Amino acid sequence: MDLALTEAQQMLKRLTGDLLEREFPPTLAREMEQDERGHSPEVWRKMVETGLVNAGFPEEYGGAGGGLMDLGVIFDEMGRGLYTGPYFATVALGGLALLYAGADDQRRGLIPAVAEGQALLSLALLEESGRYAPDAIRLEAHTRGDHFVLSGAKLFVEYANVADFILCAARTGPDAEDVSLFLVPATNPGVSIAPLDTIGGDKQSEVVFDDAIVPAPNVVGEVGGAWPHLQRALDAATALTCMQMAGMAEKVLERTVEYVKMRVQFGRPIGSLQAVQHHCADMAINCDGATLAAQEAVSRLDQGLPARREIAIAKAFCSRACQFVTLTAHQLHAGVGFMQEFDLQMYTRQMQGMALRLGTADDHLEVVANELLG
Amino acid sequence: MDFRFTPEQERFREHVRAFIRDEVPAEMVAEIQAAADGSASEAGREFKRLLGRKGLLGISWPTEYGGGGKSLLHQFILTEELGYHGLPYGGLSLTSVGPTLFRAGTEEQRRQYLGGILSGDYEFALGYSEPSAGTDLGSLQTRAVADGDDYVINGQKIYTSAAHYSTHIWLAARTDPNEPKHRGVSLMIVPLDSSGITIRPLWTMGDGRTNEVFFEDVRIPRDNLVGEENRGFYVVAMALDYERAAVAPISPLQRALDELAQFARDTSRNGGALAQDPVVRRKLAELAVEVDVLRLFSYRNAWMIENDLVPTKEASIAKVWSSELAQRMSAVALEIMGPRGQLKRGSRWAYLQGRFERMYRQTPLMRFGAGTNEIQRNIIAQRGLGLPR
Repeated sequence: MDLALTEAQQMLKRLTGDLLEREFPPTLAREMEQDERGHSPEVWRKMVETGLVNAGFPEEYGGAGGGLMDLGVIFDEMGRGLYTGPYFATVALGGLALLYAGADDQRRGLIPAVAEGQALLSLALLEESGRYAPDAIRLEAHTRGDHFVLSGAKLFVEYANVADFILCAARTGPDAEDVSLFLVPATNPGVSIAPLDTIGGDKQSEVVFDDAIVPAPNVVGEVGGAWPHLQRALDAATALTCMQMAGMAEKVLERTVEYVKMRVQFGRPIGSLQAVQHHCADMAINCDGATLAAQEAVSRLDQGLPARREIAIAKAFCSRACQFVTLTAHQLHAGVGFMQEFDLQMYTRQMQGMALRLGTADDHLEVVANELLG
Repeated sequence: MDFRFTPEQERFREHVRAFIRDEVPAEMVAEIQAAADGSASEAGREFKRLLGRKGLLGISWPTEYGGGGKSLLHQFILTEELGYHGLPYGGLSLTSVGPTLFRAGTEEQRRQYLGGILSGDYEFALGYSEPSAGTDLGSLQTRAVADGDDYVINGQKIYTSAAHYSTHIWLAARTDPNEPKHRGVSLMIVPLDSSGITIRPLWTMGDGRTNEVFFEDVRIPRDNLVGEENRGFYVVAMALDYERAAVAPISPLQRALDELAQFARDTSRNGGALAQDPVVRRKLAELAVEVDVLRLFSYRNAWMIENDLVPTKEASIAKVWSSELAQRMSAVALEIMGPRGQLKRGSRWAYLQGRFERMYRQTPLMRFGAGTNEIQRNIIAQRGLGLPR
């Protein structure tokens, strides 16, 4: 048992935290929400230079060869620093899907460009039903000569508006798992992208494929063989999201503690009142549980161990615990925390967006129930 | 980062399982499980002596004090396995009194008591609470007056849970009435067979027995003082730290959850298995997540102690979480069972031998005992988060 980060991971954590503090202040987070692209190429360049973008890719593809726990450490800090931008879509969703599903030449063809910061990715998977399951993928890909033709709509495609390539999961046969993954340049004339206005203010899009023609070599991996790889990428992305949520929750707790120490009513800091202290203690309990559950899920994936159960536990717990933390923070901040000019409301909205993606608490509780009860 | 035990530790777990399977008589297990307080039962005490003979008591005590010299994680694994099988471990003598004596006791005290604790022959009851001194322990009134080489003790303790089967009491008594609050308190070891001690039973809602202990001119040698005179609160604080850090094992709750899940699979209602009822599934899955989070909290405590870190906030978090989870779990279990949930052990209609009916009655103690959850939340807020007192 070793519950400490390695020295290298601690260093990566500091590097990430320092970079975000310097380059991604809350004012920029606020601007990014208003900005149509929601992406600062300047910040992206700094993230590439600091080694955050290539951190999780294998060395043979221009990566730093880090494991999932290295990415976990980065996402923890991104949560703390209220980072929004195409990092998750490029590295965790698109990047891992390409890495897991792609043939060697396909990885070699694109991952180095991603690692160097020259290409942004996204993953188009969800549709109208909002379910992360192979049978929920209805968007169809038909063969036409040497090409595939994709028709249908995808929802919640993260940072599709700035992506260079969209990895699109499409149905290529009648069986549930007849799912293939297509690498589609965002400039494909059959692709149109429309923004979705979401609670978190991050950039998600509806992406419509209208007879989009995709050459056969752009099938990532085997035709009809994408789902297991996608599931693996989704598992990792879910665990990493938990790290990000836990990081956000911890930061919210820290800022709340600072606030209640400073806020004076009745001639004393409200943080000296037991009713307030007990709210803070409950926030701490939930933060610690969220962090430990996320860390266990990521560490198991990092070690190549089965982690289905741990991921389900982490996401079920984090979704509710982190929501509790932000909403309790609002109770303790009262009026000021409710103002748009205050940062807390950004944490609260983004946290809720994360609670709803990659499986809600209910979805993951069903995974736990299946294991417990069959 | 790695949340797993080492292969050597897993082998130790197998060793403990084999011991439980092969060397503990089935009647002994049945008798312990049937008792409201297994560790207080005759079979429970016999079992403790069996653990002592097998060298399993004090597995993580230093070898210089006769222990097994293994890591604290070994003790953690041992208590996990014993707890899962409804068997008691050494209690506070082993996890709190002994370790406090390593640090605060005299050489003579260590020689005198540690061996008996390790063999299971000595059992300590904690003499802290009084009728007017519960959470506010500093207002305790039991007096110990120095008289030559002796102390003479007068006063009363209450909720002295193990007193009726213990050999000694770990007593906090006032030695200087002129000092305010906790400053005039000393900690001393009093043999329970001393003349002038009366023990009266108090019966709890959970069917267990606790006690009132009365002291009337009880005379003990001053050598029985642990630590310095009037500085007993340091010893109490040390013992409480060990007690809180005794890494509440999760296994009794894991076992209860497993039995509840088995019950849901085996029981049909409205023409289908309870386990297929969406509401039941949701409730049990929520409990399963919460048990897992408790597992992580207690692993963290164990890992911190093993690495010479002091869990303060962390130990309080585990205590709050486990006690409140136990209450939720028993309430959920009874609700799922419906009217038959109220039946006690012994009724042929009782589900799972009434174990959740009894658990429901026992869990309030977990929440207010060993430092109320309100005090634990104060510790989390003040010592953990740095909020002002």
